[in-house]
Amino acid sequence: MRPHLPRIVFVSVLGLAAGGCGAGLPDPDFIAHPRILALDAVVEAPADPVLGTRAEAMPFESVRLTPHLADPDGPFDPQSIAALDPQWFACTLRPGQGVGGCLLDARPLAPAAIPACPAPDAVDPGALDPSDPSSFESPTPCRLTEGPPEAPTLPVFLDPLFLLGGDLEVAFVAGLGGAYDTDRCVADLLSEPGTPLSYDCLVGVRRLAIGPDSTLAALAESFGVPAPGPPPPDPPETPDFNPVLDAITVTVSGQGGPFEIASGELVEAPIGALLEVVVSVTPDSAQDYLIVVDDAGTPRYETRTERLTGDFSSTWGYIEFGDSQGLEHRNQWTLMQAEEQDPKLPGDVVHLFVVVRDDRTGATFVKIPVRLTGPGP
Amino acid sequence: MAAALVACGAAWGPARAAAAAEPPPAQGDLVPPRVLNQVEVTYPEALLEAPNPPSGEVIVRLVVGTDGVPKELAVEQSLHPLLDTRALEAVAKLRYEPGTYRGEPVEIAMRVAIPFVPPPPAEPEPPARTPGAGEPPARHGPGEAPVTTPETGSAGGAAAEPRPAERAATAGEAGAGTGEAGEAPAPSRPAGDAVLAGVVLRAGDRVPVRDAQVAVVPAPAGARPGRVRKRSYAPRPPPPWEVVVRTSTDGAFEVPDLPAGTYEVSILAPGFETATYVERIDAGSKLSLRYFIVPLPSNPYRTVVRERGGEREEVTRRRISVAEINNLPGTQGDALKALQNFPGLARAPFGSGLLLVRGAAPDDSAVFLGYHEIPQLFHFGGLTSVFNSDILTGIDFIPGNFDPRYGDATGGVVNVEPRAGRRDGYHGYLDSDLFDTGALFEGPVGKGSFVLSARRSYIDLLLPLVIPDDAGLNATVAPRYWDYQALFDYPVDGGNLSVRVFGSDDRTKLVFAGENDDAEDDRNKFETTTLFHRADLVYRRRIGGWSFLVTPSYRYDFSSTAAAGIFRFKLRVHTFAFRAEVERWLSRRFAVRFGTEVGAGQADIDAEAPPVPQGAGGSSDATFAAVQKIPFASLALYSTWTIRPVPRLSFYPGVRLQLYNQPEVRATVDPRLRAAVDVADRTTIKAGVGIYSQLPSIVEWNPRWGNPRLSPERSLHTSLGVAQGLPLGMDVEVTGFFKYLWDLAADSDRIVLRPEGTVGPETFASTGVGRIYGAELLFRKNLTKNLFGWVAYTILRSERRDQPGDPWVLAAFDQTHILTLVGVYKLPKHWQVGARFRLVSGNPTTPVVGAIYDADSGTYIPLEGKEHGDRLPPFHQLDVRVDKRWIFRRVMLNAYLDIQNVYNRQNPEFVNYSFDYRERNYIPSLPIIPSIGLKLAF
Repeated sequence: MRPHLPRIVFVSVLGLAAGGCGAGLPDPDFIAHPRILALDAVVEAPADPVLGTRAEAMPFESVRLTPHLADPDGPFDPQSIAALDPQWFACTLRPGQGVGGCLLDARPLAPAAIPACPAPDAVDPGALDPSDPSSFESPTPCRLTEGPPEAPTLPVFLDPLFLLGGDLEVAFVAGLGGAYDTDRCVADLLSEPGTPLSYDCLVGVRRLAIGPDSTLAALAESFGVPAPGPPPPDPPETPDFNPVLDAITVTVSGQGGPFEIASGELVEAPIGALLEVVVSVTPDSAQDYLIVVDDAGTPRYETRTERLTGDFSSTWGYIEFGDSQGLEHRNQWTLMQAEEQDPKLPGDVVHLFVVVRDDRTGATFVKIPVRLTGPGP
Repeated sequence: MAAALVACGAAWGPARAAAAAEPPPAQGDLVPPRVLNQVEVTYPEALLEAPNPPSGEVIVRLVVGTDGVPKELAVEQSLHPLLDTRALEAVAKLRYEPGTYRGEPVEIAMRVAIPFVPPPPAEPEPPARTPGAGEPPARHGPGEAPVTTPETGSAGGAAAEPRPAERAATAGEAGAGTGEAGEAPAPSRPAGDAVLAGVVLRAGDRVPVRDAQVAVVPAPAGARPGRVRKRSYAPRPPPPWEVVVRTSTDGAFEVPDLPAGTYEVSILAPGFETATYVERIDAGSKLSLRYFIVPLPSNPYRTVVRERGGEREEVTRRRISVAEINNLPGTQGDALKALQNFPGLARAPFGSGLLLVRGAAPDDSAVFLGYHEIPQLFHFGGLTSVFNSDILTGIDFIPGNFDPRYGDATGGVVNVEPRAGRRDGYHGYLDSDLFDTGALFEGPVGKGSFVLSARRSYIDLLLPLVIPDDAGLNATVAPRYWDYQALFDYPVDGGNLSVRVFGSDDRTKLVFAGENDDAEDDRNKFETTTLFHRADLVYRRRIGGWSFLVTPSYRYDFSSTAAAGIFRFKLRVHTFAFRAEVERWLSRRFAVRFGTEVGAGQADIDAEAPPVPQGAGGSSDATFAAVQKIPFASLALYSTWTIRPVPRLSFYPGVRLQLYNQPEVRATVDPRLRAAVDVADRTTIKAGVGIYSQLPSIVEWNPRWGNPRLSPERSLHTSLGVAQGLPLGMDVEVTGFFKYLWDLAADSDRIVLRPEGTVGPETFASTGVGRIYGAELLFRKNLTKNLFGWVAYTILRSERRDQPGDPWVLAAFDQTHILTLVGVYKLPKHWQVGARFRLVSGNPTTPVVGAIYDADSGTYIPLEGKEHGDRLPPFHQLDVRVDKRWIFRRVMLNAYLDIQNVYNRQNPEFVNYSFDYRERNYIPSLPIIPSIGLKLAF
C-alpha cells in the first residue's frame, strides 16, 4: 500500500500559492463591471431575538431569496433587478457536492423543459426504499415560480437526497440586455458543457442548506430510511443563522467620529478623505455546530465554531484590505480616484459593500453609500 | 553472468617478466583485469631515418574478454601509422587474468598507452635481459630508449587502480634483445648502505597507489632536492644505472643498498600525472618519504552497466552511474535529479521532482531503495534527493515492462542501490551550496565498512532575513529539510550483511497575518511535515550456483498538512516489510528466481477535509472528518525465469501474484514476458508485454471520502526497442511503447447501496480507462576521454476517459514532445563545463469560457471548455555548470557554479485567472537561479 497524500496535492498547493498574488490582474475589490455581490436566503419564520434570521431550512418551510447586485454606479435597486427579468432555478445537491455542480452536471438541458419546482409534499416518503438507491433519485432541477423575480420565494419540497445529507442549490440568472437577455443567458448556461457564457450574463449560485442534518436524520428515520451517523444529539442542533449586525461605525478623517450608521444610511465625506469603517457582528453569530467524525468506524459528534469572514468591495476609491476575519471587520477606504477609475465630482455617490459570511451558508449584506463633497484633505 | 563494464586503464610499465601478483584491490564489486605477460615492441627503423622521428604515446583501446584475451582493439590516440601498427600488435599479444564483477568474470574495456621514444644514435651495447619480478630492472645502455618517459605520463588512468598492462618497452638497435620477452640488461650500480623508502599515495584522498613504478636514477649534476617541475622534452642520455621497483598493496616501496648521493626519483602510475623528485640521501641512513601523486582529469570509469544476461533484461533500463553524472548541469550535484534528463520522463512543474513516467500519473510509479519502497525521492518535491546520491552504486530507471520483482505500480520504477563504505582508508567530505550543507564520513571496520552521511538545509535561517517585516508573512517554521544515512556492511559466513538506517524530514509552517484580522485561526496558516525513517537488514550470499537474498525492513512514515483552514490531514504509518529471493542458474541457458515480498502494518489517519471535488461545482459546506486505524497487509509471490535457447536469444517469462487486504481482500495476477535478441555484436532487440497492477490512492478508497469497493487499477505494458552500439563510444536506443489501463478510479455521481448497508453517493467507481503510446530515442556519447552527453527525445500521447462512451481527453501531464540535450566536457587542469537544454511541449490546460458567482464563498466558479483542450506555450530552458577541482596532498576541493535558466525564460507553468475569470496571465516557472557549491573531500 502506498498510503501517502497524493503528491500532486503538494504541487497544486504550490501552484495556488504562486498564483495567489494575482499580479497584473484586476483588483477584485473594485467593482468595475456589473456583478453579483450576494444572494440572501432567509427562512420565512419569525426571527430569533438573538440569532436573527435563519439560513438553514427544513422541508415544507419557505425561503425568501434576495439578490444583491452592483455596478460602478452603485447597487441595483429592486426595480432595476426586476427589469432584468431574472430567472431562478433550484437543484438538489448530492451529499458533499460543490455548489453549482448540480445544474452544471445536468447539462445539456432545454430551458423550456425545466419544470416548476414541485409542491413541498410532492414526494411520497413511503415510496422510499432504504435498500434501493434508485428510489432516491432526484427529479430536479426545477424552476422557481413563486413571488416577484427580484425576490422570489421557494417552498422547500421534500427531496429524498436531503435524507442522505444533500442540500438545495439555488441559481440566479439575469442578462444585462442587448444581445444577452435573460433567455439567451439561460439557454447558453444550460447548453452543452463547454458552451461559452458571456460576461454580460450574471449567474450566481448559493447553497440552501437543508437541516440541521441531525434533525433530517430523525426525519429520515421516521420515514423508515436508516440514516448513517450517530443518534441525534441532545439538545438538538441549532440551525445555521445569518450573522447578526451589531454595529456599523464610520470615522471620516478630519470630521471626527466614529459615527454609528445603519446599512444603507448615507454618509457625507469630502473627496480625498480617509474613512475607517468597522462592521461588527454579535458574538452569537459565531455559532457552534456539530460535525460527524468517523472514529475507527464509529461515528460521533465533534463541535466546531463558525469563523466569520468579511469581504469588502467598492465602486470608487481604494480600500486597504480585501477581506477580514473575526467579529469585527474593519477597513480603510480612501476616497481618491484609483488608476482604472473615472473621476468623480462633488455630489456623486460612491459605495462600499461588505458581505459578512460564516463558514457555512449564513451571510449578511451591508452597503455604505457616501456622497462626495468638495475637495478635502 | 556476463556484464559489460566499461572502464579505463592505461597500460604502462617497463618490459619485465610477468610474475603472478596478488589480485588488485577491488573497487566495490569490481576487480580489474591483471596482465600476465609482457611484450616488447621495436621502434621502426624506417622512422629513424626521418629528420624528427615521432615520439610520444599511442593509446590503444581494447576489451579484455572473459578469457583474458584482448579484442576490439582500436587506436584512440595515434602517433604515426607505423607506430600505431606496432602498438596494436603488441597489445594483441598481451594476456590478462580477466576482471570480475561480484565474483563473475566480465569483459572490461581499457586503454593502454604505448610510449615510443626514438633511440639515440647506436653505440655498442651489452646483451639485454629482462629482470624477473622483484629484481633490479634492466640497465639501459646507450642506444636504448629509456624505460620511463616522464614527459609522456599516461592518459585515462584508472582511479580505481586496475593493475595496468605492462607496457611494451621500446627497444633500441638490434642486439639489444629486441622482441625477446623478459630480457633486459643486468643492473650495474655502486653498492651502498642507504635506504630510500616510502609510500605513494593518491593526492586528495590519500589512497595508497598500488603497482606504481618508482624509478631511481642518479640525479643530473647540479640538481637541487625537491619536486622537479620543469620538464624537458629533449631526449636525455641514459643514466649510468637505474633501479625500478613497484609499490606494494599499501603503496609502500623500498630501494636498499644505495650509495650516498643525490637521486632523481620518478613515480609513474596509470591514471596519474608523472611526478619526479630530487632526493639527497646520506650514507648509512634511511630516507622515508611520502609521495602524493595527482590523478589525471579524465574519469577512468564510465560505469554504465549494460546488463547482458544474468540480470534479467529489461526492455528499457537506463542505468546511471553516480560517477558519470554527478556533475550534470541543473542537478546541483544530485545524481538522482539526473533522472529528469532521460527519455520517458515528463517535465515536472517547478522542477518539483514528480516522477511522470511515460504519461503516467505521479503516484503510479514506485521508487525502491535497497529492495524496499521509499515514499519520496526528493525533499519538498524536488529540491534535492532524500538519500545522498554519493553513496549509491547506481540508479536504475525502468519506465515500463519491469521485472515481477516490482509491484503495486502501473507506471515505472526507479531503483537505487546503496553501496558499501570504502575500505581504502577513512574518507569523507563537507559539501555546501546556497541551500544546504552535507557531510559524509566512511571507512573500514574490521572486514567491513561503514558510511555516515547527513545533510541539512538552511533556507529557514535565511528566509526570515529577507522577508520584509510588513509582508504579513511569518515563517514560524520556514521550509527546512534534513536527511541522514548510516550504513554498515560486513562479510558474514560467506555472504554479505548490510545494516542500513536512514531517514528524511521536511517541514514548513507559514503564518499569513492580516493586519485587520481581529482573530488568527487556521485560515492564516499553511504547514506541512513529511518524514520517514527506515531500518533495513540485507543479507546476500552465493553458494555455488545458488544465490540468496533476505531483507527485513521497518519503516515509519508521518505526513501532516494543514492548508489555510481548508483541510488538515495527518497520516502515521508503521510498515514491516520482508523480501526474500532465491535464484539458481540451472545451466548456462536456464535460470530461475523465486521471491516473496510481504508488507504489513497500520496506518493511523486523522483528517478533516471537504469532500473530494467531483465534476463542476464550487464550495461545499460539508466537512468529512475521520480518525481511523487501518491495518494493512499484502503478500506477493513472484518468479522470473531466464531461458536462453541459443546464446543470442533470451526469454524472461515471469509472474507476480499479489494479495491485498485493503480496502477489501483482493488478488491480482500479473503475467509478464520480456525477450532480447542480439542480432549482431552490438545490436540488440528487446521486447516486453505484461500486466501491472496497483491499488488506487488512499483518498479514493477510504470509506469516508471514497469508495472501498474500488478494484485495483490494471495496465497492460507493451514495448519494443532496439539498441545499437556505435563507434567512438556512442550508442543509440529507440523504443516504442503502448500502454492500456483499465479499472481506473473515476468520479461517480451515482447513488448506491454502500458497504455499510446505507444508501449514499458512490463518489468513485472503477470505470476509468486510459491509453498511452509513444516512442523514445536516446543517443548517448559515453565518457571516453573528455566528452560525454546525450540527446533524449520522447514523443507520446496520454489519454483517459472516466466513463464508457465519454470522449478521450488528454491526461494532465501529457507532454507531446520532450527533447533534452546534455553535454559535459572535461577541460585541462580539472575544469569541467556542462550544459543542458530542454525543449518540452506545454502542459494541457482547460480553457475557461465563462464564470458563475459562488455566493457562499464570494468567489467565482469557472465554466470550462473542452477538458485539456488547450496547451501552455512550450517550455525551453538552458542550464549551465562549471566545475573546478583542486587536488592537494590530503584533500580535494571542488567548486561549482550551476546556473539554471540561463536566459531567464519566463516559462508558463500554470494559467492564472483574475477573480472573475475575465482576464488571465501565466504563473511562470522558476527564474534564473545561480547556485554555488563547495565540496572539501579527504
